[in-house]
Amino acid sequence: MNLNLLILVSTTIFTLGAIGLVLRRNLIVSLMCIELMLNAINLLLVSFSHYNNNLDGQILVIFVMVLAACEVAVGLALVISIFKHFKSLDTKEINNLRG
Amino acid sequence: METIIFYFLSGLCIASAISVLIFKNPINSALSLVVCMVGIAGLFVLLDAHFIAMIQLAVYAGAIMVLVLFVIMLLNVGSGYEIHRSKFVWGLATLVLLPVFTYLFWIQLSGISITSPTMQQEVLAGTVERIGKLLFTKYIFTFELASVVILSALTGAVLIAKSNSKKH
Amino acid sequence: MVSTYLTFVLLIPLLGSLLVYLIGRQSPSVSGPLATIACVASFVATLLAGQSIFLDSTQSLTVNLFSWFSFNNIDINFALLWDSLSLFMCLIITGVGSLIHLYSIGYMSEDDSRPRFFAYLNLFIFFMLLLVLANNLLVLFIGWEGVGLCSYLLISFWFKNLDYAKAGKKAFIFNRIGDAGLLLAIFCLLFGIGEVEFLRIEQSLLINGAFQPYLYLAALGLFIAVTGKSAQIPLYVWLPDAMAGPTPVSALIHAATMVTAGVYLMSRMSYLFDAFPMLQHLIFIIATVTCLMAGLIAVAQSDLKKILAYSTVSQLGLMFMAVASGAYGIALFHVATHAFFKAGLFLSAGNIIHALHGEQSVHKMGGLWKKLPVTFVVYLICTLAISAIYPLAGYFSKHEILLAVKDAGYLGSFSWLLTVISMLTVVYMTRSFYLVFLAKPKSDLEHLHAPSILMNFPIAVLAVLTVIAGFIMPETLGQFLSPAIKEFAIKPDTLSEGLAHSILPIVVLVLTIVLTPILIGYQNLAKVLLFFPRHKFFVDEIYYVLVAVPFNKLASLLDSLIETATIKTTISALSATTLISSKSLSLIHNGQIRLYSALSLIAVLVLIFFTVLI
Repeated sequence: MNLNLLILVSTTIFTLGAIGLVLRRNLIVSLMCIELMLNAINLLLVSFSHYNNNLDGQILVIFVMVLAACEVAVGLALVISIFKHFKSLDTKEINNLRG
Repeated sequence: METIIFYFLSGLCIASAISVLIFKNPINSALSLVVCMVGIAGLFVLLDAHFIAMIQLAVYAGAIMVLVLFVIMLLNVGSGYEIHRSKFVWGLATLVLLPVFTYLFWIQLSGISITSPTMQQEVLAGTVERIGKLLFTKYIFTFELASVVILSALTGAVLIAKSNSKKH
Repeated sequence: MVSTYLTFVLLIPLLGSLLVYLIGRQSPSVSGPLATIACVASFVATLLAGQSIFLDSTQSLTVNLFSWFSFNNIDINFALLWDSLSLFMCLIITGVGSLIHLYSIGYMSEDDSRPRFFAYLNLFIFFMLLLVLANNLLVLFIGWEGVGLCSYLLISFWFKNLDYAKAGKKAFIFNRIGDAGLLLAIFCLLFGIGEVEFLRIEQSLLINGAFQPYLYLAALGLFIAVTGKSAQIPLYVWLPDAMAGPTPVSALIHAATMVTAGVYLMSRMSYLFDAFPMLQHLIFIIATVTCLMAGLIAVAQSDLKKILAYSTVSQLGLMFMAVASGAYGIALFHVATHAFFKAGLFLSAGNIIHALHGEQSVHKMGGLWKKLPVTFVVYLICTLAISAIYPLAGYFSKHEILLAVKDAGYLGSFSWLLTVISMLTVVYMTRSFYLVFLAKPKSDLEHLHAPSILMNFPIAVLAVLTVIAGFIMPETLGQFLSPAIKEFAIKPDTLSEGLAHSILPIVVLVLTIVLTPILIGYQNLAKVLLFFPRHKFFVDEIYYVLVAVPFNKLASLLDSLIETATIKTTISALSATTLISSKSLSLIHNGQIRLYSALSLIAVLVLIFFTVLI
């Protein structure tokens, strides 16, 4: 269990999250992909904290979680209101910003 | 033993992350995400971050995912519009993200080498006591700030969800 | 105390201008009296400020209002110079100006844009005062440009008439040429001796002498400036066209004050011109030719105001002859007398034109002496004065000028030209007088627009001034101005000259009155004789061919070469590029969240890539 492997795992999860964010058209799944990316970052932080023998990294993880919770709360509220407005969660149809 | 568990958990995480992307039904995706988070919590335990692992289970796998599932059920969204996947988007994704991934991979294998994890004399475990001490001494201000942020986010969430329901 | 009064002298007309414009928009009838009050107040302030100088004319005072700017160790102050010369000019400006303001109330009483007129008039008074009060050439330049601006605004006051607007433009452009000369002079002085203050330039010249090419160039530039403002050859053609403005404007700006700014400037800088006899010679020749030519043209004109305008050009030429002969004081004396009788003539002409509902041609007038008695008397007095008939003001000033010019000896054996010039004045003035008042009426005189008391009073005052100025002014003025400028010596004349100057005009006058009606019978003969003067010697046409046509050709050439070929192509290429790039960039902005997130990911990755690379 060395650091390189851990970094590899977290990078993989992060990339998968990014791919999902770009590919999936469901708004809720997009939110979940963001969660995935945040988790990958958390994993990276904890690994470095472990290998540097320093707990500050873990504190940072707690704050990231707090912000993730906020993001999910606001995001889901937005999802609900968007759904009420558009009757759909397809990001392809929600394109009011088109220039 | 540890190595075996690590490989198992890593594999579980990656596999469930892939399945988040692949499932067409959001409910299936959400359940795979729960699995992924549990796996990551296991990795936290392996890295001696006990408190974080607990929070990961309680907050993420528990509260947040339940919230997501609840919304999915509430809106009762089908998976219809995921059927027609544009080839352009897939092409874009592979074109952009594949090189990115290989690039990061290459950096990992060639560049940095912190390869001696067990050289430390004593591993500093992330117990509740230590984390708590740090959180309420060194990071007390940030902690309070985070509480304000979460409070305002919750108020905002309520406001957003409510005001729109009144209008329609 | 004096400096306070002086500030008032300058600021009252400026404030008056603003007030007249602002208040006049609500109630136009207030604007005229208000402007007149401002001008009279300025006159009173001038008298108060000049108290000490009246008692002792050697006094001079520099009032430093504020420091304007400084560079290269040269400090330019916004300062006023208060001595007998500036006091003298201020008195003419505000005094004659007040009378003309008063007259304008009557003359403009039916015009809807009176507030604008009076605001411009007050503004003109301000700039003119600034011009004569300036302590250095840069402040003078502000006034110089300011009077040019007001002149332009007032010439094209009735700008809805295209010809009037064009006349304004013409005056503006010709004045710009002169102003370029003034700027040249300022730059040369700054470059050559690093001074623009009048007194310091004088000191520098006294210490270092004048044998510097820069100074010569400066004097030449000043002369160009002066030809523009004071309507001398080659830049005189704007003045006759400037008669498009309302008649009080012609009286104030284009006869009494602004056009004499050139004489003032040359008197102020007399030490500079005295240092270059060659240049003085050139000025003399130009002034003589101007005087002769303008006099000839005036004889053949039919427009009453044009006759007076060419007469003004001619009289200005006379002043310049005096200046070139070194008799600055006499030139200024003529400025004063000319201001009185020419303003009187113009205002009388204004009465006549007003009475005839805008008719300006002398051939359509006649027999007006019965209908306009006051105007008739004033016009008669002023005509006699400008014809230099004893004992009116014109006789004294003109007589002195002729003596001074003869003494300078520039003309040599051509001194008979002087007599011709001064007799031309008699001829054209008498001709206009005869045609306007004495000839048989050509039109119905029943529906005359009688002048009001407001219009008769100022011209009566001017006529009185014309009568008495000659007796009061020569000696007192000589003593008064001598500290500011050179000696003002009244030259003792021989009996023969005195007789010639006082009797000859009377003879010519009588001859003209007798001959004009006879000559009118021989229209064809007059046409042949006066062919060139009637067409103003074709100067406008020559200028058009020599300047305007090549300029237009050059402009159209540049238009096709540079404007169309280069600039337009470049600009359209630029706009096309912008359009294409923005159109292609707007494809990205398609409202798809997924594309946005992908793009931001790419951006982050590029940044990381560069960080690693560096």
